[in-house]
Amino acid sequence: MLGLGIESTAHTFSCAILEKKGKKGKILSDIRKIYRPPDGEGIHPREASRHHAENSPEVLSECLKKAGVKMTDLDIISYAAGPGLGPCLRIGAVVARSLASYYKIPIYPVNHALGHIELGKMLTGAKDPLVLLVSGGHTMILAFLSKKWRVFGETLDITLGQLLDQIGRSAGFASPCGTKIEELASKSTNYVNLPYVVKGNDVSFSGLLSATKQIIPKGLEDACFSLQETAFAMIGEATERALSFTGKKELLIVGGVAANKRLSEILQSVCKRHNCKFFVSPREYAGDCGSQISWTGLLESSTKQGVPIEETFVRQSWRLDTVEVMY
Amino acid sequence: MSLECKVQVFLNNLTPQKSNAIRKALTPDNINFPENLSMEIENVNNSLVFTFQGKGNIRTLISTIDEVLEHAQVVLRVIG
Repeated sequence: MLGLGIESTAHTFSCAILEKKGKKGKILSDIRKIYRPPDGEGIHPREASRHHAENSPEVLSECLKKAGVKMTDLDIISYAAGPGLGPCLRIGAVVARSLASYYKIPIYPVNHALGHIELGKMLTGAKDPLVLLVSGGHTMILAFLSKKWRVFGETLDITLGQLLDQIGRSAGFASPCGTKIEELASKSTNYVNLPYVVKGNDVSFSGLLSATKQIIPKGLEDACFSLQETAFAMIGEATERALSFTGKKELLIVGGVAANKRLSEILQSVCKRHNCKFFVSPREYAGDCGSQISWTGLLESSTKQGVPIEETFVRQSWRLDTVEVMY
Repeated sequence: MSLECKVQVFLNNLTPQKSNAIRKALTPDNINFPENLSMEIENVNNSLVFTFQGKGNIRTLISTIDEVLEHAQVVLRVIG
C-alpha cells in the first residue's frame, strides 16, 4: 500500500511517500523545504504559509519523482491536520484535498504529534515505549493505555524547542536554533546557576528562559551549556519518575529536540538505572517531515475509511491525548 | 459610517474537474466566517466565481481574498 503524507504545521513543508507491507513501512521519498525567518526573528505564520504555497508544487513533484510513483499509484493521501499554525496547516490541507478530489484518492487527517510517535516506533522498532516528545510545539511524556496516548508530564508554559529557539534568537540566530545552541554548549563546562522548576511531573521553562537571557552577556557558551544542563536535567527527572511509575521497559525520544546528543546522554543514563531500552528517532527523521504523516495515515487506513473531503478540517489546537488510536 | 464592500473574482477557462477540485479544496477552511464577512463559490459556465462581502475592517476582507486566491493557485499548480 502506498501513501502520500503532507506536513505543513510550522516551518517545514514536506511530502513523503511510504510503502506499507503488513506491519512494515519503507520510506520511498521524503522531500522538505524549510521556511527560514531572518536572523533573530521567529516564525511569522503568514510568511511561512506563503513559503509553503510557493514551494508545495515543486516539493510534491520531487517527492513523486524520487519515489518513482505516479499520483494514480497512490492508495491514500494524509495531511497534518493539527496542531499547528493555522495558515500553514491550511496550505497542507489544500494540497491534500485538491489531490484527493482530483484523483479520487481517500484522504486522512493526521495528528502531527501522533505522527512523531508512530514514525519513531517504526524506525526504531520500539514496541511499547514511554515516549518523550520534545519539539518546538510539544514537550510531553506519554504512555499508551486503552487506545489513547496518556500524558504523564508536560510543560506548563513554553516547550523545550521554544526555549532553545528563543535563547538562540535573542543571541541573534535564525530559528530553529537547537543545533547552534548544542554546538555552543559543547564548548563550555562552566555551569552558571539557573532556575530549575519541576512541579509534580510537569516542567516550567519560562523562568529559565528569562534567567538565561540575563547571563548571555557574561558569556554565550556558558549560558548555552548551563541552559542545556538545567533544562535537560528537569526533563530527565520527570521522565525518570514516569518510567518508575509506568514500569515501561522502553523509552523513545521523538521530535526535533531528540536530535540533541546531550539530551540523549542524560536519558540513556536514566534508562541504565531502570534497566530500560533506549530508543531515539534517527536525526534525519526527528524533526517535522512528511514521513510521520504518511506512516500514521497508512496505519489509520488499516482500520478505517478515509474522511469525506467536506469534513477534512484543520485544528490549530488538537491535543494528542484526545485522539483515539484504533489500529 | 463603516465601509461595505462586495468583491467578485472570476477564474476563467477551467474544466469542470479543476473547478470541482478548487471548490472542494477551499470549502472546509471557509466556513463559520465572522458576522461581517462572507464568501460564496459558484460555477458559472467555464468560470469559478468567488463572491466576497465584507463590512467594517477592510483589511480582514483583503486578507481573506489574498489567502483564498493563493489557495486556488496552489490547487491549480499541484493538479497541473
